[in-house]
Amino acid sequence: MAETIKINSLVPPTWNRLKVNDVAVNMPANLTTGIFSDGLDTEAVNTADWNIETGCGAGLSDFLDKNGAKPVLVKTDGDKLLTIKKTCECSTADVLCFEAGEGETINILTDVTSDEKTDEASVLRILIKAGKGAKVNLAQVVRPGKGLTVVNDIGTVAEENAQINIVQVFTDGSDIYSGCRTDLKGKEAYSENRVGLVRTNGQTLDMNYVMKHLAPKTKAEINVSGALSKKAQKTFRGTIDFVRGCSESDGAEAESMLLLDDTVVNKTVPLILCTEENVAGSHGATIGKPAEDMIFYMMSRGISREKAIRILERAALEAAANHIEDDEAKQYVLDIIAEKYVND
Amino acid sequence: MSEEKTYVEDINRTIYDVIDDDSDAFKLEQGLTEEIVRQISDQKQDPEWMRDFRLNCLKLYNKSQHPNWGPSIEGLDMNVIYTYVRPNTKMQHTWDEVPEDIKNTFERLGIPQAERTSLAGVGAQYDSELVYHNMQKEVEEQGVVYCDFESALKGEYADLIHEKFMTLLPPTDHRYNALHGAVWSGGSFVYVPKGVKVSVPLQSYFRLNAKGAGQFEHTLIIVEDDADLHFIEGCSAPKYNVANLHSGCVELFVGKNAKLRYSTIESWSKNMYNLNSKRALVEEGGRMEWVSGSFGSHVSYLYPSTILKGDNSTMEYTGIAFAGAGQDLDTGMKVVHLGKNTSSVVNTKSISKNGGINTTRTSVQVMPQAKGAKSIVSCESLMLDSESKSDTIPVMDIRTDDADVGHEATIGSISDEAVFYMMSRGMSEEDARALIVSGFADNVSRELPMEYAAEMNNLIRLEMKGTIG
Repeated sequence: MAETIKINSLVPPTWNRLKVNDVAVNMPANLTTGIFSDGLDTEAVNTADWNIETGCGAGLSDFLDKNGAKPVLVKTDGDKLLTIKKTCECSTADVLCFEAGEGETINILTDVTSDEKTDEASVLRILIKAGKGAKVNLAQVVRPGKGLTVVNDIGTVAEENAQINIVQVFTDGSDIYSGCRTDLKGKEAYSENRVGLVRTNGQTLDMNYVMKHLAPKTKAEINVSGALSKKAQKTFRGTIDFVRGCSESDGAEAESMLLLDDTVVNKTVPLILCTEENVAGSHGATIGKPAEDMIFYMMSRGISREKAIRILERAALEAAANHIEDDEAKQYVLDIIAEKYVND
Repeated sequence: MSEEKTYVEDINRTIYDVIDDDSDAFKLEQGLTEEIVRQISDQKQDPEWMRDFRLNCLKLYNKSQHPNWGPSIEGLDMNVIYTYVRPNTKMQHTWDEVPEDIKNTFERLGIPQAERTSLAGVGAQYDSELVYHNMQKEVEEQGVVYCDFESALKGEYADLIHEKFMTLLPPTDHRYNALHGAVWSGGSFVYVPKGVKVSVPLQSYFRLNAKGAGQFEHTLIIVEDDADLHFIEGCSAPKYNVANLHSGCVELFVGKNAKLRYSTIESWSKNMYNLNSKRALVEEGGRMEWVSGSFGSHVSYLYPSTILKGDNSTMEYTGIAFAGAGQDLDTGMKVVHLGKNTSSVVNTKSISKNGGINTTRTSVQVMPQAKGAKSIVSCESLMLDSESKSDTIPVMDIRTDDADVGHEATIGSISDEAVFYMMSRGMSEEDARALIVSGFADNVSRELPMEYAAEMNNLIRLEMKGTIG
């Protein structure tokens, strides 16, 4: 049965009138499971062992349980890039788990797309455990066709000295709901989220990103850049949470958004929560139209205003993509961006 | 070298904690019922519309819920709150006529002295009623009206008050506006005519003395076009072992090219639930300035809000909150940009120590028609130990491309590098740390008249003893 789920809850909540405390998503009935894991080397896992908190949160967990989406552990081949590309033809829900053991490095790339004018939903939850000194690089491209609702959810745990790098590129298509939470559980664990986004034609992007500092000397960064036009709506919730005991930790979040007309809605909710004295947390945001001197410079070089703006859009996506560590994954994502702007 | 180390002491509350005997005060029974609301209306000799308004607000209150965000107010039980306590005196226009014990209380708080040296007028409220109100003759001759709210409600400006009362803070906004609308008592009305610039500030001081009482004063200020006013609000109460409640409302109308500065030094006792609402509406070219120091109360919900309605209107908010043991202060501000080329500048600072909780909650909304809007918000938090908590919860909702919005927030402890730098210049570590904490609060004290900056410094009391962190 179709239902509405509430996800991406802000903790703690704020004024209800601002409508940022969570988001309601209409989900279709009859989701198929196992689509994303099809063709991968997987094994069943004990759900209790993978009880990792995620950005989308409990609302999505309940929905996945109801739809029988069980977590499966995906096996990787050392640091060789694992690419998971799916063109969604029906509504799907999957939970994929990845584990990098002590000192290991794994590279993952996901690419979710669909044909034009589908009326389906794609729900993908990725859970990651990064062991002591491990490194996990996850690159994601989400580029749904019209009508495909995408829920992209991540939960990660980083042990001592582990590193988790997540780069996401969201382009075009339809509505995207994205959650990401990292628990920096071990001393000197590090995590970085980079997001490049372009939203237009009434599309929604609703994000909830949480970095939880649980151990000393942990470091995290969230960086979001992008452009909105033509009735697009974006909500970014970013939380840096310093828990007592995480002394000498450092958390930063930054956002740079270009608003290209006055039909867009851009909401930014950058929380810093702190119960530890000896930490450094910061947030910076710049939101507004493109700088006129930059546009003027490009126009003085024979580039039209429209094309200049598309160059800035592309730059926002490429700025994120350039942070992908694995060269093959980086080139894959850059090629997709180049294809999008092929006529420029 | 001194053996004492730097110590950031809790707020020294000696002068605020003196309790006057209130056995001769008139009190309505505890709780909130239609009968109590009718009795308050009778006591105030309300016009009919106000009585109806109160009763309607009570219905709204009874239908409403406490917000699902913010600090817990479980310790507040309206069934045991005295909503109306009238001291055994009428409002006076000279301090000599004010009863001795009440006068002594205000003397300790420095109000008559401040009036003599630096104020154009003073209103002093004691529990539910004003006991003193006066304004300099020169200011009165400029056409400025500054009087208690009840007198204004029946005087020359009755129609204007009827037109404006709780229109900026409608009782439908939230539960505590509705409560205020039902039981409000006391407060001030200020009217500054067109073009009049009041060169020295007016001040209202709100003192809550009665145990278990609520204070619900209403402040309405209208600054007409091209006029200028600085209004100062102070408040305090002695500490009891039961909950007290403050739920005032402040409505500010700033005319075209007018300027209003509203300064508050809040020093409620640590049993106080401070659920206060303040909102300003600013017309074309007008300017609203908020200076806010939150030091007291057990729980605070306080977010002065500004609607920049007119083109080229501006707002500046400077605030500091100091939360110590047993305090949960949820403070901040809201601004809505409606007019073209409007601007807002926000600087908030918070200091948390000894298990104190500070939450800085802000919202900036830029609507589609607010072309050319500019907003910059800066939130800085200082944690003095790891028992305390400090959260920053900002929201920016931007709906036009033609806006320039910036936000920055930092949280941290005292920088070792800064301490080291000062030590390398010959300062002791203790002095360096004290100087950094003192400097952190400096931007607020600089915005206040000297007497009030001194009061704020007294509230923070950065003493050179003990140790930090």
